[in-house]
Amino acid sequence: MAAEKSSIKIITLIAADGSVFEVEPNIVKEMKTVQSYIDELDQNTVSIPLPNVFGNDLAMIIEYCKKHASEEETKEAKEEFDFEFVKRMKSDDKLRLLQAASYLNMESFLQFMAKAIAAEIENQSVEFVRDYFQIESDFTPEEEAELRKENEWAFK
Amino acid sequence: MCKDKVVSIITTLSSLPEDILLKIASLLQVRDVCALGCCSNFFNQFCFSDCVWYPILTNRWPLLHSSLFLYPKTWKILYFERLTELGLRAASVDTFLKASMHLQSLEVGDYLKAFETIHAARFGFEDVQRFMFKPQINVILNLLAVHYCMAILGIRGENLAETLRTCEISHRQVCVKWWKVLGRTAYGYRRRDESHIRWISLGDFAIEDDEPLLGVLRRGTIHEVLRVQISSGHHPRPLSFEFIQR
Repeated sequence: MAAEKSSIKIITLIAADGSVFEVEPNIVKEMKTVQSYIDELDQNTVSIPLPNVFGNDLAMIIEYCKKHASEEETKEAKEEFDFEFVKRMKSDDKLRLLQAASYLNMESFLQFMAKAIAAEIENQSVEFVRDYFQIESDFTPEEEAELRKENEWAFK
Repeated sequence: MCKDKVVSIITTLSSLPEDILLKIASLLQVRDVCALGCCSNFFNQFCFSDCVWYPILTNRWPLLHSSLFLYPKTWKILYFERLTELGLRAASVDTFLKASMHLQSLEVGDYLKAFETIHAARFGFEDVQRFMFKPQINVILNLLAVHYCMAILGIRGENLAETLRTCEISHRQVCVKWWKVLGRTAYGYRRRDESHIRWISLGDFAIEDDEPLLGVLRRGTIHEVLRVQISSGHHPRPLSFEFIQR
């Protein structure tokens, strides 16, 4: 089993839009869905279709994995990278990446993205949260007023 | 694979699977959970469900949950009721302290009674911050809360001092005076009582671990300690002045 695994040199990931990524085995370790697929195969090269992940998102996830798998990078450099990584994203980018992380079964990346989303709405108003996630209110004005009153204590 | 179809999928928060939503909810503060819950019917149902509130409640009050299984209420309501109860308890201690103080001074017996009330209600660190680390309340209640964190919750040192700074009560000062009887000398004469006085800011109180001071606050009047008085005040008077007054 060990010999089989080490014989795999390059893994090809095919995103939903058909774009192709060639990565080294250590990059996909964090992606448990991909890893379990590889573990079952007995081939030198593997190509794996990922119909639920877009090319752009996969590129970002790979970028993240490369940075975090690297042993040369310092802890500070990784933190700096994480900070910049989420800074440039909009809310739907984050949600898509979160969904991709869940599909690929990437525990720590999932945690990282969920934290980034939680941080965005920390201490914000209902209006801000609605706007940020583009949530349409389906309350009547009366329902909304009552709900606000019921939850007033939480905002003190 | 039809490309157009894939590209047209839009990810929204409500379209995420429930386990991911729960993950996000578990990282939110109570306030943020409620804000999200007020956004739409979908989030109202999700954010105020027991799966979200059970962990919130048991994380905040780990010792509490077993006694609450009997109540046919939602966990959010239980959380709210517990918070309200603690708020009332803190307010009643505040009222008690005000009533027991004479000329801005409190006897240690009353201080210990108030301490016991807080202890019996099992305030957690978050509760203490919410109800008793406020700069506008009686500084002795602040002191009591800091003391409670150190003695009961085991939170002390720089961590505690940092929180006090954030809550803007670190600089507030209290004065603790205590008198000790030293007993009689070998010749049978009664020795002079020894008096101690400590002006200390809450921040220093949290950091310094001043054993004699903590001792008299914890034990009150026992053995050789005749009397302990705790006072509030913003300007420390010079030590010498205190001694002359007596």
